[in-house]
Amino acid sequence: MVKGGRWVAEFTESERNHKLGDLIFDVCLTGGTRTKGLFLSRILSYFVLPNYRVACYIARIPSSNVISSDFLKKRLTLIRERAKEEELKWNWLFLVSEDEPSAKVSKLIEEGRGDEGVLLYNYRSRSLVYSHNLLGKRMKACLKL
Amino acid sequence: MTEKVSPIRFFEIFKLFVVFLAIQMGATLVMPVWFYDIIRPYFLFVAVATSILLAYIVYIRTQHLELSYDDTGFSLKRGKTVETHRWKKFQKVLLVRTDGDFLVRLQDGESIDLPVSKLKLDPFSFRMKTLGFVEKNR
Repeated sequence: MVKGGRWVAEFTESERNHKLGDLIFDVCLTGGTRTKGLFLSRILSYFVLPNYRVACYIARIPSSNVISSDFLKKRLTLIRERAKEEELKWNWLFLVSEDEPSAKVSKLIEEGRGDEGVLLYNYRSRSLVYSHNLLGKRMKACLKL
Repeated sequence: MTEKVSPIRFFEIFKLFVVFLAIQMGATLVMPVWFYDIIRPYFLFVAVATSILLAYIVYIRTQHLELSYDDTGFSLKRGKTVETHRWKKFQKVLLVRTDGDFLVRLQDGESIDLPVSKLKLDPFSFRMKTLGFVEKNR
């Protein structure tokens, strides 16, 4: 994903209705942290960038009220298990809802523990709530929604 | 109803044409001068004509793609090789971006790539179409 000269990862595969455990995510993107390009870009990418596999799980939810610590825990546990199996170093959980999240939900996402980036996007108001860890901040900085 | 897609990729033919023309041009460097003097008036015309013909023949025999599909399965012909599969055999449909092309990858143990960019299909809508076939036949 490249946007405005800021780069988070190069996603090369996408799958609709991705099944993970007993959950179905609307879209799952996978890729890596090394960019492809012409000769010099490839050399630079080979020597400078880490070679991590990454994944981003996107799910539409009916309302942000469904988000609770158990809701996030279930999804993040499945994501972590798969990350361990497939050596996915960076993982994002991207939730899309129609309504504005409550202060409690926002706090839950922002203060989320773990390395995974968690983002909640409200496509009506175009607001974004994100986990204040490295991956959450990085994705927030790169997205132009 | 079976749908068939088999676009002619003119750029591939052009690339082969350039290769055959370069080979014929290169051949003049090792020809005896007396022989070159005889063929010189016709050389360019003959070289261009044979390069076009050879490029077209090699393209059709090795690189030309033809995809035919219906509700039950698909058949991908690459040059003279034909692969036929049924949608129900696959579980996953992925849209994959390689260096310059999009592929629709069908997976279930083995994986089959449908080169949608080379077939000049819209990768996003064809992925949805494929996903529909796979889910319907599951």
